[in-house]
Amino acid sequence: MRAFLLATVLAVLASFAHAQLLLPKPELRVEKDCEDCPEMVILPDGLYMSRAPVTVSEFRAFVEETGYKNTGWGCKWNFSGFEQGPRHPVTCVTFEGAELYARWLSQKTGKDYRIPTGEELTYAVRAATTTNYWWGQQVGRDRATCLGCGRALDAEGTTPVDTFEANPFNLLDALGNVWIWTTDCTSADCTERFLLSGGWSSPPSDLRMSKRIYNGVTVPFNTYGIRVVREFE
Amino acid sequence: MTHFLSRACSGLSVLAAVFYFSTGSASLAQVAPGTVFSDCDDCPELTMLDNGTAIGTTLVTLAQFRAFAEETGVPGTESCFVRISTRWDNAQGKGWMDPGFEQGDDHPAVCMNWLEATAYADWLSEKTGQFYRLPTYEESVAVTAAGATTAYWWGDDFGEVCARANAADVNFKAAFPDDKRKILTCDDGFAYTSPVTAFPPNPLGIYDAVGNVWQWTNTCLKGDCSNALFRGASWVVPAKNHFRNDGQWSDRIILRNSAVGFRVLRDAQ
Repeated sequence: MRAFLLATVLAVLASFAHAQLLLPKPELRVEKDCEDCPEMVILPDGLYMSRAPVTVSEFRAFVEETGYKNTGWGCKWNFSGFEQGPRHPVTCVTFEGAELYARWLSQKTGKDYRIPTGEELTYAVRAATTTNYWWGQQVGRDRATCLGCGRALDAEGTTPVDTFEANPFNLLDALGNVWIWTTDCTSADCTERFLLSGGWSSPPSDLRMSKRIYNGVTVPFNTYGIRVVREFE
Repeated sequence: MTHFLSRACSGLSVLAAVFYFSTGSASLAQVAPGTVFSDCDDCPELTMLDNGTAIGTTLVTLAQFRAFAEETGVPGTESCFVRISTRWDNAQGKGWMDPGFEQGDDHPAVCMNWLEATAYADWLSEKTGQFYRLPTYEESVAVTAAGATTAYWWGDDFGEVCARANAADVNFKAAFPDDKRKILTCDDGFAYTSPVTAFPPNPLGIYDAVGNVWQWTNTCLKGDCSNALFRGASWVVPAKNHFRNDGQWSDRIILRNSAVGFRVLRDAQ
């Protein structure tokens, strides 16, 4: 009888533990390495990733300090072809420009900033979900900015990066608004790189992380943006 | 029993023959390559290809597109990129009804975006029971080249362009005197769009394989399906690389342009 009682108590305790009542959720911490640096979230695997796509105001700090110019064909970071406020994601940055920005952050902070790989970005955006989008199977409404995401201004341009709810890993604009450059190459000579996560002009199916587009590393588009990562130190 | 069967069979074959002749050979599978036919009165003419698909013999004309647009409510004056002096302007009030210049019923329809061009193909599919769509970029190139390995479907000499295609020629220059680009100095007879059979067809019998208006394709730009490729150059284009069989450009699928139209492809049955 006593053994039976003990077993019952143990079983009840085990079920509590199973329900994760004993473990608090990890704190959502956001860090910044300098005044003008992008906010970084700490992913469960220890990598730091910018909480949102790099914004126009964050990128402006880089331009003002370095005199960066994207010359040649196409749109410019401060001339995207539609209205952009300081909290909009910066667009029209080439992959090469994105790498320059990451290098500048590294020099400024002493930390090792870089552009994410496709795998790192996919891990952060999916946030341990297995559905089409991190919020579910259907694109729904008011989750992201895309062509067919249920907003009045669909396909008119970018929106501020904090317009929508963050994903479970605390990433803003995890999907939509701007495609994100990754370091993944389409071929051995790396003249073209892949971009992930869909942009403001993309149909909802392009927001699935199985979808990849690619372009030359010197090509600016007003649907392309950047995120940066750095290792834990 | 055998007697009954043979009678039934002969009855069927008579029925089949009647069906064959009454509907015409067009709707049956055994259409010879090169045959020109259409699936309904308002449908675009198609040219049968070797692989069983059929390609629009001409670009979709204004009359053909109007029949669809009026039935389904495609806006004709919402907005369209039109050529103004030296640049493109996304003009309100322009559209397939009014692209900014005069068009006859046999001119190619312009100012429909990719979504509307695709909707037209879907509408044809529903109407005819066949599967219509836009050709892919590769299909469009193959139909244009018609087996040739030269730069242009007529050969390697771009100097023949004004006899072969509607490009930005002296008539264009007269209409847009301020245009700083190097405009062609030959005369193709048209400043803006031309009737879809105004120029000689390529060896496959396809009209406006290049020139007149760009043609939307079903192919995404580097995987990005918010942009689609179009190929074939247009009445605004003087540069020879765009008239090559593989010449291409692209734009967002929601934008309309007065130099972009399309042709349809019917899949094999």
